[in-house]
Amino acid sequence: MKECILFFNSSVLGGAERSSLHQSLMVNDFHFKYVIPIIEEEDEASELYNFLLMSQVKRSDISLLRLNKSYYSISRKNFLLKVISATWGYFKIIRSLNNKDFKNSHVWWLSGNKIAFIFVFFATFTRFKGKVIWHFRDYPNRVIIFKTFIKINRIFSRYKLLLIGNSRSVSESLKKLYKTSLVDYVYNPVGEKLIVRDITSFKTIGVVAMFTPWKGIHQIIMMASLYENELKSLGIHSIKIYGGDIYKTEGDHMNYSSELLRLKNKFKSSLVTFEGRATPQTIYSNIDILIHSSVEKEPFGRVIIEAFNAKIPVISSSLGGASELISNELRGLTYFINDYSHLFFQIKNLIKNSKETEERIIRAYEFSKEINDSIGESLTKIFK
Amino acid sequence: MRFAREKANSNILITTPDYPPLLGGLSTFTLNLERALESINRNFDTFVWNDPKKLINFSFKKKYDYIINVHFLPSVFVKKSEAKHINFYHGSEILFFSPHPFKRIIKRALKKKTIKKINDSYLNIFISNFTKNKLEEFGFKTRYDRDIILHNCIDTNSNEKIINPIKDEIRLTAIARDVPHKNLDGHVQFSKELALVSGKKVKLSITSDNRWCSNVLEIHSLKNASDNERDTNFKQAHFNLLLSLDHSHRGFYEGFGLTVLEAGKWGVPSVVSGTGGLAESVHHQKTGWVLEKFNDRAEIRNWWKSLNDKEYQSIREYCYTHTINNHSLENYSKFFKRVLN
Repeated sequence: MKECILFFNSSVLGGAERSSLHQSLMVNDFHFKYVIPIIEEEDEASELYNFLLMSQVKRSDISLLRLNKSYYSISRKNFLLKVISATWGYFKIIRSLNNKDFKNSHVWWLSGNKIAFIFVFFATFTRFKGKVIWHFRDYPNRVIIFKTFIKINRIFSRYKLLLIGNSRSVSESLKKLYKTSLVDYVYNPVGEKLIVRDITSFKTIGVVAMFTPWKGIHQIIMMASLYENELKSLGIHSIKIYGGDIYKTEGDHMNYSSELLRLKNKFKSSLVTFEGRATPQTIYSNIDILIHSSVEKEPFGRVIIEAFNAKIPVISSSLGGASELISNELRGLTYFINDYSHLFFQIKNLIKNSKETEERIIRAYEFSKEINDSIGESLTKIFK
Repeated sequence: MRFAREKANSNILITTPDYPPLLGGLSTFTLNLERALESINRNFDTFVWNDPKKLINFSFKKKYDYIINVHFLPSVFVKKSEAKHINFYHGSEILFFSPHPFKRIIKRALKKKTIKKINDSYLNIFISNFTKNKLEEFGFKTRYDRDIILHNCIDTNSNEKIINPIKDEIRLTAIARDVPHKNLDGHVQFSKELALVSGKKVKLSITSDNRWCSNVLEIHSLKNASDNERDTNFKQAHFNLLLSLDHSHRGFYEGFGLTVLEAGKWGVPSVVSGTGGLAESVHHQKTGWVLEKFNDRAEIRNWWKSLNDKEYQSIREYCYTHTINNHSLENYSKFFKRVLN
């Protein structure tokens, strides 16, 4: 059986890591090994490590890879400022890697851009002859850097490079990078079995996002405060915000958690509670409506597809890949970003127009099943 | 500098550079704020300043809990007090630019200090995300507990959902000052192109002297038109145009585009250029259209061809509902009810 190494992008269990693992379990005829990057302490990977074990991955197939912090903590926002120390860290990582650990695999699956920058170069450097799959789970923000990097590697490489997006929207942006290597896009599956409840009344709104400004959680706090009485009149008892700060990088998100708490002090609402991180099973068992509030293009929007699968109605800002899932209000309602009254009116629409909401829930559920059923075949084709 | 309004027991102060009878966007904005505060039964004073120099180290005799600055400059210049400053940012005023070279040097020299003072404010309210991002270009760092996006609102008390199908004639309206970045020539050019691609008679009402000649277009001057005349003009229009240019480098851009709302309360959708905050005031293909290449005949043709009567009417209807529901003064009332504890 052929072997594939799945390189995770981060040591922390987030949506991208869940998606990567579930996708790997859907690929036929390949034996998978998993590599988790470690930036500071080994403990930081414990949640992801245990998640792999719980998903029937053998301990012997999991390895930890220590990587230099100065490269890994670089973010989109401070890239230019930290570029020198990051470059230094980058080459330290390349020098520390041992080719013996990876050379016998047929496929390297790089699940994210940070890890891809390391292993695409390492594959070129070590004359790797297999297949390298660069899975974009985010938009390539600095196109010129990505484009130059890929072009230089293509000159010297002996491997087959494939670029995959996780939505049509991401895939479109990849065309600017390197058209000939572009495969297409593969949506993220739900993976975990979620409990489907019969929702008889809408009492709890959920927001599920990592704490970073572009996820737009501040809008929810504002809306909850400005429309508290109206929301209560609609029967809403609480707005639960799930998530936390999982990023190891520097940038805009660094003080966001404390800013959200202070914002809640200025714009008070008895409805809003911060619930911390929780498993999808816990989250979708406790909410009746999901608000997806990203203020920038969302590469995919995993929480949307999870809510679809749990038969939870969704209201989304519907930007980027999220718009493919919502599909022009066919499977969920949309709202205009930074427009608190519009968000409230859409919540009201969702609750008051129960027949339309029910139809959207059914269409969304069917769509999530379609995605789950088709991913294995799509990925197996790519791997072969 | 004067108090336009003063009450004995007020703990809130509004400062503004423009106030009626002087006309203008900030003057109307101040009146709208006053109405919003009145609706939530708050006592307040209104202070009018017109010379920033006189604000330097100025101090108010009365102790206020909140100072709402329609233009942010008082938060930079007036003597520090315990009052919480709430500043509005509309657009071009944050560009540290002046057509006068000496003033420009002063503004740029004071940029760092100005941004530091802005950082000390209790709340900074940006009328569009574009304006906030523009200020970030000058070194401002957003803090999400202090810096809020609050889109413009207008008095929607007089409003009407007008059904106005397009037949043999297309009626356009363009209400804007005749200054370069408002691009009135571009509005005329767009209207001519629309006449050519649609094959219909096009009538443009525009706030300028009629300095253009055209065989395909009928131009009607709205210069010096009263508010009532403007409203009548909106009511008859099929489209409101706001095809402004981004002249940030010369100190001007469109912060939000208030006429989009003024037209919207009569159900008239807007066609806008998408520069500045316009893409935030018009939601493409929902409340109007954002045309990036509004001077390109092919793009205008594509837009016109894609527009059937059913879609046009549904956008009119949604534009009206959206303006009334989401951009009425009630939003300001709600906002200040929460903020002014």
